[in-house]
Amino acid sequence: MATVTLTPSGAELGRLFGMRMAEVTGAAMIGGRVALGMAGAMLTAEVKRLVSHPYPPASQPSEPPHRRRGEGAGGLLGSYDYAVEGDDTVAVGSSGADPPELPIYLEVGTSRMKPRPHLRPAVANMLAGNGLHQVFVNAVAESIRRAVG
Amino acid sequence: MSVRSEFVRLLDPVFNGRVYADEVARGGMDYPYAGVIDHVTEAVAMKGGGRVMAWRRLVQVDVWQRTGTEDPDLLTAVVDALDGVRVEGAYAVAVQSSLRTTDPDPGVVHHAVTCSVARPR
Repeated sequence: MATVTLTPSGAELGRLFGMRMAEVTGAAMIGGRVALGMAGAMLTAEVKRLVSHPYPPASQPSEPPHRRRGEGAGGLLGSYDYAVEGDDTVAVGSSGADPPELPIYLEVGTSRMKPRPHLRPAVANMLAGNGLHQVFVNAVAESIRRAVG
Repeated sequence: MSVRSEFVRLLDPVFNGRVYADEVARGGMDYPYAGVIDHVTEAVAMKGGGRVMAWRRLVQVDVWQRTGTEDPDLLTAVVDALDGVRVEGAYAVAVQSSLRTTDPDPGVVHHAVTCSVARPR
């Protein structure tokens, strides 16, 4: 198996392996999409971890919200999941929240309630480590390795 | 001067002095007004040689307006007042995003503007 070092320049890789640049950049894009899915799964897991603390007690301002369960719980966060959108975006959000706006009201606050951020801290936690960067590097490199045989 | 105080100072001219730190202002307020919430997150921004070299924190600016008198240019003024400005002890402020929600209180519109401030360790 050929081994390549990932560089920003698809043209250089193309020259190195005698391939058309489009093939190499295409492989990189496929790897990027795979990495986006992996990043979405990681981010969703981090959000779920942040909102896993059970209610009661109620969360304090600036803390992630505590999860309430069952009918009449005074607002339900729903189920968090992700979707890859296009070539460069992964969206993480909640479905089944009651009311539907509850997750965003908790994230940014309202005129009567201070924020309980949980989406932005999840992103910050992921960006703070090296894990997310490595996910993209590994996925793109693996995709190019397969393309060049 | 803290980053939060610097944000209040920078935004005061935009809101004619109606900018508040942390507290959600309620009752009898003249719209529009703004609130500044510091430390939404604080995370490592850069490492080198095994040491943390810089931190990045998120600051949220809440812009509160009445639905009927919502000023379409106000957000631009907020971004102009903050984006790229250097605050004491920190690198430049970067406006990252703005989210518009209709508040549960009838007739109130909320823009949550997220800014990042990177600062050396």
